[in-house]
Amino acid sequence: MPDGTSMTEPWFSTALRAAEAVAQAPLDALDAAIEAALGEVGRLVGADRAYRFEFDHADGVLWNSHEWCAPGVAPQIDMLQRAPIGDYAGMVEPLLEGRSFVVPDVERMDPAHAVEQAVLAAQGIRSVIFVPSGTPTHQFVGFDAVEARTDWGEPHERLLQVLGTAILARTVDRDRLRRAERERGDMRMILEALPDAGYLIDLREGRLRFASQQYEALYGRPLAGLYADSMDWIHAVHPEDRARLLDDTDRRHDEPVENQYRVVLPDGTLRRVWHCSVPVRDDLGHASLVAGIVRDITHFVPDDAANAAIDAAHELRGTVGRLLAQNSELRAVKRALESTATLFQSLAERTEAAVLMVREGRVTYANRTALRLTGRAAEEVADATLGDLFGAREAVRITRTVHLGFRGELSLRRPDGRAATLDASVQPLSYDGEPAVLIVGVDVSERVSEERRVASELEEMSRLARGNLVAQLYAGLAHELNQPLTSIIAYGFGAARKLRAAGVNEEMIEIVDRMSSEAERAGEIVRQLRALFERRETENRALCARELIERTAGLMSLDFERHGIDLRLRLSAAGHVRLTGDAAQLEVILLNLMRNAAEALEPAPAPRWIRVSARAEGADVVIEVADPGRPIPPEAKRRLFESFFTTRSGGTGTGLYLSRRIAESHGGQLEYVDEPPLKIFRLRLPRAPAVEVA
Amino acid sequence: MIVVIDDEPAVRESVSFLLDALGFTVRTYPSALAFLADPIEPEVLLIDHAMPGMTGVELLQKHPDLPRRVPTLLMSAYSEEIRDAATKAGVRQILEKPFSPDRLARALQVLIGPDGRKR
Repeated sequence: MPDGTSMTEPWFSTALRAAEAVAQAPLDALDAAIEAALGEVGRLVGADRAYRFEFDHADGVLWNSHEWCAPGVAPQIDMLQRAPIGDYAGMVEPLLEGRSFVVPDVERMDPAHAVEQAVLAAQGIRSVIFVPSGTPTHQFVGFDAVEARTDWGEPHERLLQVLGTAILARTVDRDRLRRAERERGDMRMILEALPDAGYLIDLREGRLRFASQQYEALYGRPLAGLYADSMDWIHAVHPEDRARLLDDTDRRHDEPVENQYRVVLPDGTLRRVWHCSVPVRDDLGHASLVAGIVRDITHFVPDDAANAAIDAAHELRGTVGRLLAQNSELRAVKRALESTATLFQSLAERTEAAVLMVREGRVTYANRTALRLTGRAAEEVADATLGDLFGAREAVRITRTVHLGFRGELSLRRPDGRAATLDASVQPLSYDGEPAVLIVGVDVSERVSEERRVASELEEMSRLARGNLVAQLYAGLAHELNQPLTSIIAYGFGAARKLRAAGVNEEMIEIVDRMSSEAERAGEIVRQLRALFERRETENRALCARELIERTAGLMSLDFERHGIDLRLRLSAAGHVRLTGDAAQLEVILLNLMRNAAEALEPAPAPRWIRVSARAEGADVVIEVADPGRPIPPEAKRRLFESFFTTRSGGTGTGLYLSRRIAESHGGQLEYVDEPPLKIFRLRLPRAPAVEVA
Repeated sequence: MIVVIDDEPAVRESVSFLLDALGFTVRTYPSALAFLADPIEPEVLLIDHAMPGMTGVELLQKHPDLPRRVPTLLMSAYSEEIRDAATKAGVRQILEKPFSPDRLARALQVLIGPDGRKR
C-alpha cells in the first residue's frame, strides 16, 4: 500500500505499462485498450470502478465513454450518457478549472454539496476521485469505491493523471483522423457532384485520393492511369504548356492555383481547359490535401463570366491569406473547418450547376446558379422554407436525407409559380462539423418541358386519331344500319297493308305497324348520330345561354320529376350572355350532362337535386352542371371523356365523348372538376362578339 | 310501272314489296347497268345512289334524257352531300334512307298523281 504521498515502484511500473498500452494501441482498437488499461489500474488500487468521462462543451453535456467494474459491481455507464454538465455543477467546477475532485467519504460530504452527495449515494458510491485532463478540460478519469470507503490520495491522483494524459492524446488523435476522413469524404462528394472534372491529392501520402470520371472524357486518357501516376495527365497537355504547368504543380501545396492550358486528345483534337486548385489545411495549418477542378472552356468566349471567375479566384487567394495570418493555436481547428467551407463555396461559385446546402430545414447556402433558378435573392432563399423551394413532398424527402442520399428530378420553384427542373444529386454530409444536405443539380427544364410538350402533343394526336376513328366508325355504322332499317320499314308497312287487305285481325296489323314505327325511330336516332359526325358546316346562330339551358331543362323535366329530382337553376344576369353555335348540338351536351347527373343521383337518398348555372367569365360563358352524387373514382375520372368508356351497365360510353367533341368544335372546353361534395361538369364556350341589338 | 334499282337485295325486295302493297307494278334491277340493258320505259324511276359500278347520279348524268322523260326519285343515306349534284342531274326528289312509307307514297302521288295507279 502506498504511503499516501508518493507512488511505489509497482504502482509506477503498472501505470506506465497501462499508459503505454493506450499510447501504442492502433486507433481502431483504442476503445478496448482504454478499457483494459482502466481495468489494470483499477485492480491495482483496489477500486470497484475505473472510468473515463468526456466533455462535449458545444452541447453542454458530459458522458461516460469507458468503464471497468470489479467483479460483482454494477456498471453505471448506460445511465451516464449525455448528461447536462449543469446537473453536476458542484463536481464539475473544480474539474473545469483543472483541479481534481476527491471525496474520501460520501456520507460526510459538505452540506453545500447535498445534490452531489445524493447523486453519488444513489450509485452506491462511498468514496470517489476524478482527475481532469486537457486545456480546456476535455475529459476526466476516476475511481469509485463501493464496497468500503477508500482514502484516495496523491498517488491515486498521479496514477490517474498519467493514464488520463495517454488516453487524451490518443482520443484526440482519433477524433482528428475521423474528422479528416469525413472532410475528405465530403470534399470527394462535392467534387463528384460537380459537372467539372475534380480531383483530390493527399499530400502526406503523395498520391491521388480521388479523381472524377469526367477526367477520361476531358483528357482522353483512362482514369486508372491517373491513379497509378498522379502526373499522368501531363502527357495529354500540349508540349508548349507543360513547363509552365509543372511550376504551378509545385506551387499548389502552398497557395491556390489557377491556370489555363491546351490538351491534345488522342485523335489530335485540341481543347482548352481551365484549372483551379486550393490547398486544404489540417488543424496545425499544414496543407494535407489539394482539391481542384478542371473545366473544358474550348467553346468558352471570355466575357463577364470569365472575369467573375478571375475575381473569385483573387478573392479566394485573399481569404486563404487572411487565414494564414491568423495562425494561432486556438484557431487551428476552426480554420481547418473554414477552409473546407471556403473551398466548397469557391468551387460551388465556379460551377454551372445549381448548388444548395440545407441545414436544419433551411437553405443556408445557394450558389449563383441556384439563386438564378429560384428567382430569389440570397436572403429570400434563407427565409424560404424547403416547401416553398421544392414543394412539400420533396421537402420531406430532403429533410429525411440523413444517411442515404438519392438522385432524381427535383423541381425548384420560383415565387411566380414557375419551376425549374433539376437533375439533382441529394447527399447527406457534415459541413462545418454539423449534419447538412448537399444538393447539386443541373437545370434540365428545357429538356423536360420539351419532353412534356411532345408527350402532350402525342397524346392529343392519338386522341384526335381515336376521335376520327370513332367518327368514321359512326358514319359507316349509320350507313350500314340504314339499309336494313329501310328494309324493315318497307316490309313492315307493306305487310300491314297486305294484311289489312286480306282482312286479318286488326290487332296483328297494329303490332306489325308498331314494329315499323320502332324501326323508323331507330332510323331517326341513326340520322342524328350521323349528323354529329358528318363534316357539315355547324349551324352558327346567335344563342342565349339562358334559353339554351331552359330549353334543355324543359326536355328533361319529365325525367327529373320521375326521379324526384329538384332542378336548381342559377342563372345570373350573365346567363343572358350570347354565344354563337349550333343550338341542337349544344343541347346535346346539356342533355348528356343533365341525364348523367340524374342517373348518378338515382341511388342517392332524397333530397336529390341538380344545380345548373351560367355566368360570364372573361371572354367565355361558363355553364356548370353540378350534383351531389357519388364521387367519380380516380381511374374513371381519367378516362371520363374517352369514347366507349362507361361505368353504367347499358351505357354506350359516347355521351361525354361526344359532348366534349361538340364543345371543342365550338372553340370551347368541357371538363370535370371535383369540388366535394359536388361533382361538376364545366362547359366553357366563347361568347359571341358584341353586336348591336335590333 | 315503277322501276327500283338498288344493289342491296333486302332494300330492293322490301321496297318492291311495299310498292306492291301500295298497288304499284314494280320491276327491280341490282345495278344501273342491268337496268340500261333492259329496253323498258318506266313511269317512275326509284334509284339508289351508292351503288358499285355506276352510282344513281352517274346514271342520270350519262343519260340526261332519262330523268327528263321519267320522273326520278333518288334514295340515299347521304342526302345532304349529293343534293346539289342530284338536283342538277334531274332528280325530282330525294328520299333519305331510311324513309317512311308515307313519304314514299306522297312523293309518288306528287310525281304521277293518283291517276298513275294501276289498280
